[in-house]
Amino acid sequence: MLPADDTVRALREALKVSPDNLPLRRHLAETLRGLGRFDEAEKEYREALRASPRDPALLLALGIVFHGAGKRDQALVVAEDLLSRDDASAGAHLLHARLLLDAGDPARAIRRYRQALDLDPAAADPDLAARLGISPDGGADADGAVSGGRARNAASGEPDGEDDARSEVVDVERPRISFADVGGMEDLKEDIRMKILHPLANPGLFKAYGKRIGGGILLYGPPGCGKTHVARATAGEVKASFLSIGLHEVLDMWIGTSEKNLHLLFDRARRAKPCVLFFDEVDALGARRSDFHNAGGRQIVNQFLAELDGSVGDNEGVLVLGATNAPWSMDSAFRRPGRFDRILFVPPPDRDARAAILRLHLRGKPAGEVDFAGVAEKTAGFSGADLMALVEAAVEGKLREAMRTGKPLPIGTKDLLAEAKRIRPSTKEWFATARNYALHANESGQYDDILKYLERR
Amino acid sequence: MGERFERARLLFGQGRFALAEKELLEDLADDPEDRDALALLALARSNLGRRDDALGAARAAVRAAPDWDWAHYVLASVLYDRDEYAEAEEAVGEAVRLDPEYADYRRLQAAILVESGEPAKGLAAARVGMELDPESARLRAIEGLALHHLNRPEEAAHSFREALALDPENALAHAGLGRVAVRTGDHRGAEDHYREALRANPGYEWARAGLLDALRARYPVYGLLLRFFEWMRSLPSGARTAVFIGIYVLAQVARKTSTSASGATKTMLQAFFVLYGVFALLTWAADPLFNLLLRLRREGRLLLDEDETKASNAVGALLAGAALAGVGWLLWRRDGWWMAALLLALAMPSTTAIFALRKSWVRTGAGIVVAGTLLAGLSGVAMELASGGSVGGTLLCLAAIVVFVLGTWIIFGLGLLRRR
Repeated sequence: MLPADDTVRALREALKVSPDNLPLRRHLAETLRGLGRFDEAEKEYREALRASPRDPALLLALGIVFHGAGKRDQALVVAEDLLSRDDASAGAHLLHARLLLDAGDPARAIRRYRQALDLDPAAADPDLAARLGISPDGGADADGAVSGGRARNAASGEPDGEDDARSEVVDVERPRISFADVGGMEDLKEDIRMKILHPLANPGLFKAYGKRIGGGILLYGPPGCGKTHVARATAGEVKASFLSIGLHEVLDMWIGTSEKNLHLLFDRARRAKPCVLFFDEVDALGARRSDFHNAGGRQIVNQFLAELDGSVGDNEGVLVLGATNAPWSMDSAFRRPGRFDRILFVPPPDRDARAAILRLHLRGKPAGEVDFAGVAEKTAGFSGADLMALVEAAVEGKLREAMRTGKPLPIGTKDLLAEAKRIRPSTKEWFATARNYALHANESGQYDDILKYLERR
Repeated sequence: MGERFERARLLFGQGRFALAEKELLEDLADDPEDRDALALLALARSNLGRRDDALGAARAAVRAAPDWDWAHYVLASVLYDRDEYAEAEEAVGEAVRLDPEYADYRRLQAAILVESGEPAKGLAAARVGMELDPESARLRAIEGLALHHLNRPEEAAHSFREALALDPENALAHAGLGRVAVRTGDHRGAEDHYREALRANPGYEWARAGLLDALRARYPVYGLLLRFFEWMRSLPSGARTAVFIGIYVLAQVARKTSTSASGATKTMLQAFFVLYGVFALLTWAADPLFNLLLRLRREGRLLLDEDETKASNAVGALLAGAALAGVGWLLWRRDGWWMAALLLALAMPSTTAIFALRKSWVRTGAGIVVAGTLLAGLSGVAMELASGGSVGGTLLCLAAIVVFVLGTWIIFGLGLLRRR
């Protein structure tokens, strides 16, 4: 067998004679990748992609090389591109799972890993599975070990039985982020400190002043502005477990035996206390009962209210947070004391926060001199998600250019401003609707913050 | 029905139309002829404001199930939303034929007929529906609307009140009472009714527009205009045209006569002609002008949408320009100044029309034409002022004035506007 360097040299010589030989170039690239010479491998894959730009195997290999070289964002762009195709391979799912795990999102990484195995059981990766804390075949690990900052089932114990299966689909996390990781939103953080954190830390003082402790908080505002992030950071601040229920879990509840599933979820949170039980898009579960034409719909809302009241279980140590884009769709009974009695508006990021978010999203990317304040000025009304999309679009543009020219160019202010012109802030539509509610259906002043925000704009 | 359709139905019920569409498209990938999925897809897209896509899905639903009344009803709803009344009437007629006992089809039929200018037929359809479902507040409210269009305000108010007795949260009935109050000149009362309508349904555009009318009517001039418009609406279309032509002829007579008259008579005739000019201008541009005043109040600022605010800015700027040019004429008595004042004043209706058009290539094109005409006209004024009597400048300015007058008539006359 030839030494590695000799193999590479031989392959290069062969390519000089036959530069259009794609299998040969692919072989050279794979050899370089195997040797950990990622930069050279990347160059060869790019060359190969010029000849066959949409080849999924080549793209996947390039993504793996990016990941190996620590170019996480480039790898993510490639992985997401591959996953957007109908015929996304198990390899693309595995690459995405690795990237998600690296980004500190083990719950999604596990789901992605399992999807890879669904497509191809032979794709099992024991190393990755071990890092995810699951068995290589995607099942739950027997020892319930702590991995990736996530205490899997450790706080809640084992499921009670078959009925618990649905509630166990939702992972209990122990978030490591805190308010320090939430850019801007100082007023909101102060509100949460006063309404949740300080009462929990100083119950005697608050009781002495006649202030109630407990109850839930409803975060509302335009989509993509960080409600979930704030909820997770709140759990991090109180060092509690975090159980997040998304729209899909809620829909599953509606379709399945809903009341029982809801009770199981609350029970799970009670067993994991201290726990922040977070309902994303909570209006999907707490809609006005008058809107339901069937008794079943009303029944689940009643069950939710009973769970919040603690009449079917002790809620001490369980803090319920809800997030919604449509607080006006919720049954007014949810706003009574002890339920979601505190309503906090999560506005789009202000100028400083936008600059901070842009800086954060550009971290680790090939950026030149960027006037963050200038771009922030031009992106009024953009949500955090819009800003992320803006950076991603700028990165993709540069990546395409780099693939075409073979020369990486840094992202600059101009690129970001060009994308800012193209992207329409997603909060605009939300405020058009919210304004109507704040103006005309604001009996108890619960939407005054929207009006204040609109007037400040 | 499959789980995916069930999820889509739930998402639709929660107002998550984009997510519902996604589920439905996946459902349809398995069964492209699924009539339930196609009908729900049409309604989801309609709610997302994607009218063309909605129409495509609705037609596909009808193709998949030509004997299914609900598919025709959905098609009629989508067409009604697109203001395509003739075809909508046909589609809802088919739904009624297939299931003559379902009251809600009669409600849509009545609404379409009223909107398409056939309130008597609409009233008849609503009443058939009410026989089928006497407890329907929505049908009762449509009956009120038909009566309002038939200039029977007292009966209309009675129907609206009956609708509210059945359902106190019926927004159409509250707004209908607002409309009746405007007709009788009770603008404060109208305000209250519209506020109630918006409380019951904060996204109700008709009620928002009505509330704006009522708030502007706090200014007596606008109140008079509003009453004039309501009175005009109550006239048959032939009589309406006769009134407009009559006022125009009177103004022309006043103008001609004033040249040969003298003293007080001359002043009166000239004043009448000027008043006519102001009135004609206000009939087109009153909304944005009075919106400027509304913006002095917090509620007004918040109530106006983006286009209304932009229109009031633009019209305000034109008015200020026209006033300054008027002052220029008073000071220096040069023809260029009055031409500039006239040009800027006549640009107001066209500018108003642009912001009232739906966002499309028509609006962009109209905007370019108005801006170009204004620039050309102002260039003519500049030439006239610079040379002290340039024939070319005068002609250019007059041509711009003619374009503005014609443009206003074309845009308003063809009914290309979103609002009144």
